[in-house]
Amino acid sequence: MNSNVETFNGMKVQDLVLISILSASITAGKLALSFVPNVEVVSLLFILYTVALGVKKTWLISIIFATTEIFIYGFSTWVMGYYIVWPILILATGFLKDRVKSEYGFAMISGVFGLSFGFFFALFESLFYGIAYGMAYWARGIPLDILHGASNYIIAIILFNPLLKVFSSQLKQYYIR
Amino acid sequence: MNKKILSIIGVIAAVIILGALYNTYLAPSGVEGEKEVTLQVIVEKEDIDEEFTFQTDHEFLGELMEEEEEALELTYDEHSALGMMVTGMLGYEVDGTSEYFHIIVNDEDAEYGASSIPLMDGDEYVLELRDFSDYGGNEEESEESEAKEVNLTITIDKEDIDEIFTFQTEQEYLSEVLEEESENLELEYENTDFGMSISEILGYEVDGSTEYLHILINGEDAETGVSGIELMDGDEYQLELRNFAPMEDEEEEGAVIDGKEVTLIVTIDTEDISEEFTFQTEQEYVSGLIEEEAEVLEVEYENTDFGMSISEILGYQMDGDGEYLHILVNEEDAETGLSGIAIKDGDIYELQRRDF
Repeated sequence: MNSNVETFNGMKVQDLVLISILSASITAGKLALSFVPNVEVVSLLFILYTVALGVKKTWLISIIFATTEIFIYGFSTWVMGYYIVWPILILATGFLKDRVKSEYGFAMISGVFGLSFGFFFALFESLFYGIAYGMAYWARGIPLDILHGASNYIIAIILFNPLLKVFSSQLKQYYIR
Repeated sequence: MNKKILSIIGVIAAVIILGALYNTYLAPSGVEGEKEVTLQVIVEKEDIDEEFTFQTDHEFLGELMEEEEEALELTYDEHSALGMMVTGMLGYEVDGTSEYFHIIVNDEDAEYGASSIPLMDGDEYVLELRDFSDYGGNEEESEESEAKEVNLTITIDKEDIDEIFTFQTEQEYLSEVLEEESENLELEYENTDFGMSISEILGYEVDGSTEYLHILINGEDAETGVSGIELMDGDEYQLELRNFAPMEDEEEEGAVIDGKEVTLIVTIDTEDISEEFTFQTEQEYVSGLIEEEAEVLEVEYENTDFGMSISEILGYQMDGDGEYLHILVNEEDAETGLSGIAIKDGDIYELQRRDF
């Protein structure tokens, strides 16, 4: 089978396979660290994939990831929030990737995103339950947001470059552009 | 590499500073020393409403609840990130998928979980079991829980039961009123996956294989079962025993399968014959009845393309050229021949000899 046959919106079979595998890698990464509250590799992987593959494919990965979360945890407001917050990170990364010169910049993006994670969700919860609830939700989660931001920064500063190197070489070897 | 380590140390230092600032300015803080507080536990659906008064030195509600675990019959999950998650109190086990213990502090909804609610002397804490769906819907809920007056008619034709009940209720659904009034209604039921299924009402046992209780709301057929019918003030609900026989047949053709009792009067004026018969029949049409009772009626007939044609009845030979049998249904002229008249329970048919 020719993997370059166009299928949908200019996407090739190899794109569809790649998107599926990478969304699975994010779900696996999330589950692997789920025992530590607010320490995760999801943000790092989304940033990495956006840098390597661009916004469109990574956005599709995030949609599959969020949908998989519904299958695992059921439908709730926080899962719906996933359809919004991860694309925000992807868009921000896509916008900044040509301006950022080193892993420090990406670690900053990841850190700031982790720090504001609770705030994004508070906005989202406010839509359903009112601003007072949203404020309480955010305030209650500030310690966790601090932990989230710091851990995101540390994980990205350590892992971004080695992962990008491995991922890029794999893409060169197996991915036909 | 050194630069990275430095930046990581910097971030850890920032976390410590931010954490300290949070604890100083934003985190809920407890008060040391002895306090007297009251704690009320409400599980409305189990009629649980108990109030406790505690003397405590603890600073947070969660700590007090842990200490009084036995008195409160408390079970909980100690989740490292989210604090105490109450899973049961006073013997009631929370269904975590649909309900939770809502915390109210001095009549106001708590903004934190029990582990983060600081205890203050004289405070009143209420833990009330609520459904997730109640959140943010308090206004709606109070509207719904207003008392409503509804009428319920129960009709079981074959037992001559036709009773009207008027209920004042705060329930939301018809099934809930039925449950509430199950004693008055002599109700036996099961709660199935499809909602309430009534097996007995007013002493009448419903034969589930052939009949059911049809629901009407203000005279119109209901679209859901009793568990899906929302009560509205002033509404009239009717539960009517019906057979599974298709309704269209009943209305359009009268083709009821059950036994019916009908009266047939045969009048031959020229011979002074006027006889009245009462028949129990399961036939659908008058022609079928006449065929069935041909011997009793001393009938001779033919089935033509236009339906049944009687040539002799009660020993009287019809003169096909000058006379005919005029048909009346409940004292009104029939619009069709014998083969087109659907039999309905209680109907009176008359066959009158008439000249053309």
